[in-house]
Formats: sequence, C-alpha cells, structure tokens
Amino acid sequence: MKLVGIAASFGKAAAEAMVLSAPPEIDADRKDPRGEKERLMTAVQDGIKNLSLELDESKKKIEGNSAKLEMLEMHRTILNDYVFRKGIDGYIEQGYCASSSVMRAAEDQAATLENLGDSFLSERAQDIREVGRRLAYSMEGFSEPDLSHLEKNVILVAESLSPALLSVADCGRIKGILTRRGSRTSHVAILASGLGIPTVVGCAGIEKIRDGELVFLDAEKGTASFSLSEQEKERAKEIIALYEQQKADLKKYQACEAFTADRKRIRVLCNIMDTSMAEKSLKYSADGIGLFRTEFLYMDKPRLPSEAEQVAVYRSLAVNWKGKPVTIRTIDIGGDKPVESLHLEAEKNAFLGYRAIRICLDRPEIFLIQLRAILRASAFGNVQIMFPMISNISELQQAKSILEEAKKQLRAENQPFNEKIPIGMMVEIPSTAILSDKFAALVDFFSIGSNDLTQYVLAADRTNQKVASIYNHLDPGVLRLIELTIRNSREAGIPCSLCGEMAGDPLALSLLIGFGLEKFSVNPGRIPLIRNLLSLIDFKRAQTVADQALKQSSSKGVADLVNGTLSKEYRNWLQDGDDLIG
Amino acid sequence: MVNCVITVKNPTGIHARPATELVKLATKFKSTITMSHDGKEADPKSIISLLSSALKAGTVITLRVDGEDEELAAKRICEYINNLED
Repeated sequence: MKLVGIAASFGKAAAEAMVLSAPPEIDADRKDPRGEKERLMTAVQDGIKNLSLELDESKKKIEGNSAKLEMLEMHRTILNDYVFRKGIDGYIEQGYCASSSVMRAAEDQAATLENLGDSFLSERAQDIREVGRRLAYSMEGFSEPDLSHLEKNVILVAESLSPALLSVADCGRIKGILTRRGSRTSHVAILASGLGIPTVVGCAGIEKIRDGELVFLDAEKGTASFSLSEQEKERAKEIIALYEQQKADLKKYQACEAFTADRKRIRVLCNIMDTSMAEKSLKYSADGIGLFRTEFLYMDKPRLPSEAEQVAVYRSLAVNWKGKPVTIRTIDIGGDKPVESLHLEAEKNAFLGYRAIRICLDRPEIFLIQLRAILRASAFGNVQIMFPMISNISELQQAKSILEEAKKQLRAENQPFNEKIPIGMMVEIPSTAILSDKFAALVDFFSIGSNDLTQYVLAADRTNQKVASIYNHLDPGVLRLIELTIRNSREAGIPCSLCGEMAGDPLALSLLIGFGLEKFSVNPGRIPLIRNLLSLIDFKRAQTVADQALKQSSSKGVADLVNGTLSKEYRNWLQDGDDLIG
Repeated sequence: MVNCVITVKNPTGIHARPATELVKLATKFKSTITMSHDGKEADPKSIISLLSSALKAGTVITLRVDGEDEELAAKRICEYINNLED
C-alpha cells in the first residue's frame, strides 16, 4: 500500500511505525465554578512553571534550537494571556468544568485566527489549541506519550503531532514523521526540517498502518509505503542505503561552481517560491535565482499583495543575492493555480484559457503594481523581469509598453530603478519556440518552461494521470523545439536557460548540455545533484548524442539512445526503482 | 495620554515571534495601551489580541498610551515596531 501526502522535510527512511494513540475525550461535566477556577489557576501556574523550566533547559543546551525556544516562549505567553483566561472563565461561569472550558476557549481563539485567511496566522491557531490541550490534559491527569527515551528507530505515525512532543523527543531515534494533518508551514514541519527528520504531512489513510510494522517513507516524493512484502522490505533497505551514500557523495557539491567533465562552465540557478527557498539556495551558492514564482505571494490571501509588500520581498532578494541575477517572473496564475482574491471563473479548459500574462494584459491596474514593485527593487541589485505565457509578438509588445508606463510613473515620482533592467520571456508555448528567432530580437533573455512546453506540444494535461504516458519531455517533438530555441538564442547573442522538471532529469540533462544550454534553473534541493551530474557529462560527446536524439522518432528511441551512452557512474543516479515499492 | 502613528514595515508583519516579544515589552509598563487600525483594537499586552488583529506589513497603527509611564512606553513600543526586520 502506498499513501500520498506532502513532503515537508526531505529525506528517505525505513523503520518500524510507532503509532501514537489519540488522547481521551474531555468530559464536559458541569461542576461548581468556584472550585473549577482554583483548579484552573493551579494548572496554569504549573504549566507556566514547567514551560519556564523547559526554556531554561533548552537555553543551556549548546545546540539551542532557536525555533524551539521561540515556540516555548510563545506558549508561555499564551498560557499567561488575560484574553485567553477571560474566555476560559466565561465557560467556567456557564458551568463547564475547567478542562472543557479550556478546550472551548482555545478553540474559539484558534477559529478566530483561522478565519483571518492568513496562512501564517492560521498556523498559530494550532499553537493555541496545543496550549489548551496540554493545559486540559494536565488537569485530567493524562500525559502525552514520552518520546524522550526510545529503544529503537521509529517512524512516528499520528493524526497530528504536537511540536512540544517533538521538541523533547529523542530525535536520533526518530527516523521519520508521518501525519494525517498539517501543511508545509506547520510548526512540526518547520521543526522536523530543522532537525533533518524526513517528514510527510497531510497524508490520508494513515489509520491503516499498524504499530510496529515497517514503513518506507519517501519524503522526497511525499509518499509512505507499508504492508510490504519481504522483497519490498529488502528493496527499501537498499534504497535507503544508496540514498545515504549519495547524500554523503553530494556533500562536496554543496557550494562549488558547476563544470562539465571537459571543464565547460555551466550556471546552475534556483527556482523559488518564497524567501526561505532563496536562503537555502544561497547556502548552496546557486548562480542566481532563475525563476521566482511570484504567484505564491498572491495565493491563499484575502486580498492582493500591495506594492509595498512586494517591494519588501523583491528588495530583500536583490540585496541578499549581491549582484547575482534575481529573475522575477510576473504572476502565472489561472489554470492549476487559482487566486481567490481575483475572483476568476472556473474554466473548462484552464490551461488554454485566461491565465498568466493574459490576465495581466486584461487588468493592467493589477499588473502595474507588480511591475512597479519589481522596478523599485531593481535599484538594489541585479533584478531581471520575466513574462510568462507569451503566445504572440503583440502580447510581448503590450507587456513591454505597460512596463514602460510603470517606468514613466516611477521617474515622475523620483523613485530610483534600473533603467536597463533586463527583460526576458518564458518560452513555453510552442508558437514562441517556433518563432524564437523573431522573439530573440525583442528580449534580453529566454527561459524555456519545459513543463508547459511539453504539455502544449503533446496536448497532454500534465495534471491528468490518464494521459501521463503521453506527457514526456524526451519526445523528439519537444526536443526539436527546445534545440531550436537554444540555437536561436545563441545566434541572437542572448542567454537562454531552462526551468522545469526537465532540468532536474538526469536523462534530459545530458541532451540539454549537448544542445548547448549553459544555464539551468532547478529546485534548491536539486542543485548539488545537478552539479554532480554535470561533472560526469562530457560536452563534446553530449553534442554527438544530442544530434542523434533529434533524429529519433519516439521518446522511447531517445531514452534508449541516451541510456546506452551513459557511464555506469552516471547511471547510479537514475533512481527509477523506487516506485516499485508499495 | 500619548498618541502616535506607526506603520508595520517588516514583510511578514507582527507574527508569532514579534508578537511574543511585544507582549513581553508591553507588560513591563503600567499604562493602558491600545493599538488601533482599520476600526479594530489590539492590546499589546495580550498575544491573542495581537495575533487576531493581523498586523501585516503596511498596516498603519494608531498607538494610544495612557498612564504613569506613558511617555517611555510609547517610545519603546514605537522603536520596537520600527526596528522589526524579517
């Protein structure tokens, strides 16, 4: 059996499941309010005392986990909060017992935070529930499982995991975490990622996992497999061993420049959707930000982000990246990425519909705010602007003229910006790849969006499992357009990069090098792997293989051709056996 | 009574950590303190009150401090909010 959730802290693990049982229901028996208030007071005081002790302990430890300190500190503040106390007292006065009153008051406050529609604040709702739960349990005499002394390696399996529980846990023994609830930004996810524990959250179906059985957790893909056959268990162990070995091998590629085996310098940039991913990429010394997916600033928010909010984010990137390119792509929403605050209608054929630059050109008032913000940030570093989903020359011209309008406004306001800010476009619609010689004359750089290009060339929705076998970036039809785009950019003398899953696919990588691509933009976690793979590719040989690939008639033909030319060392990095488990 | 107007400048606003610190700071003073914006009022002595007022980047806050240590309290709180970075 294989379950699918969200990978919240990367890694792979295989260990016995430790299923954490749910705590007892709190009884809502009515009692005498006076006695209950006293019971509450004592429990609150004990709680504060315990948290203070824990805080002191944590501060003493040499490797003080600052996320943990902040959390304990906040929980103590919540426990001490008079607004929270008033809420509890209110329920006690209505006749509820102290523990039930605590749970109710905590739920009220948590719900208020969740209704604000801000993802950061919604996560804090969990903190309030947690403080309430701990307080109520302490009054009921129930203690949460003790994870501080574990006898063997385990993967924790739980409905949700209290960060407090994890913060005192014996983390050397906890090989993985699997929860049904939670998101990538929940406390547990952040803590686990800080501790380097592979974690999958938001995973339905975990109740089927039995305590003590072997679980294979792939927190790269976000899956958990269980009820494994002996053969699968063996395979799981091999995968973990290989994974650990490779992780160690990749250490030396964490902060170096990338070269092919015959010393051709290749730039490896990062794709990011928030500043935390940018920080991670900086640690890996990425050659710049090749793609900032700004639509994530717009999603899950009750209103559109203001110019000032956007400037703050873009400027911090421009400053932190000290002259390395920071490529900001204007919003690519619609299709699979809806934005509530734009009130877009659902469309029958969203990927071919009203999205990305099409929305921006139709609603220039929204577009202008983003363009102004990007321009203002350009005064602080090497900021570049990139338009997504361009399908014809007229769209590009319109986008550029709105950019000119933004510049004019800023000049009139005496706001500094880079007058020569590089303007680029995504090549992801087949027409632009076919006409890439024409487009190259109008922009400063190209970035090939291989995900969309593949789905448009092959007319295969990349989110539809039923056509997944058609969607393949190794299809010679896709490859020819990519090669044409790279060639035309070279002839026009403009840089060309590729951002998309293809850049992280070891099979495709050698072909792209062979086509002459010198710039890749990948997810931060892939950077060391790509550098390592590049060091194993010989440019001259890759050119020969790439020429032959263009003459193939099917993706299978291409895959067989490339597979046949890879060295054994390189082939070790193609992990295609993982999917066989579960 | 002291009144002043401050704008939240740090990109992530007054989220968990800054709110915790702000409560620590505000509870040191005896004065009554309110932070109002867009018709809502927050008490910086309560983390619950602060978080539920969603003080984001760009929020303009009117700070009102009333009591024996109002001058110092207003000064410190303004300084604190102005110096927030992340």
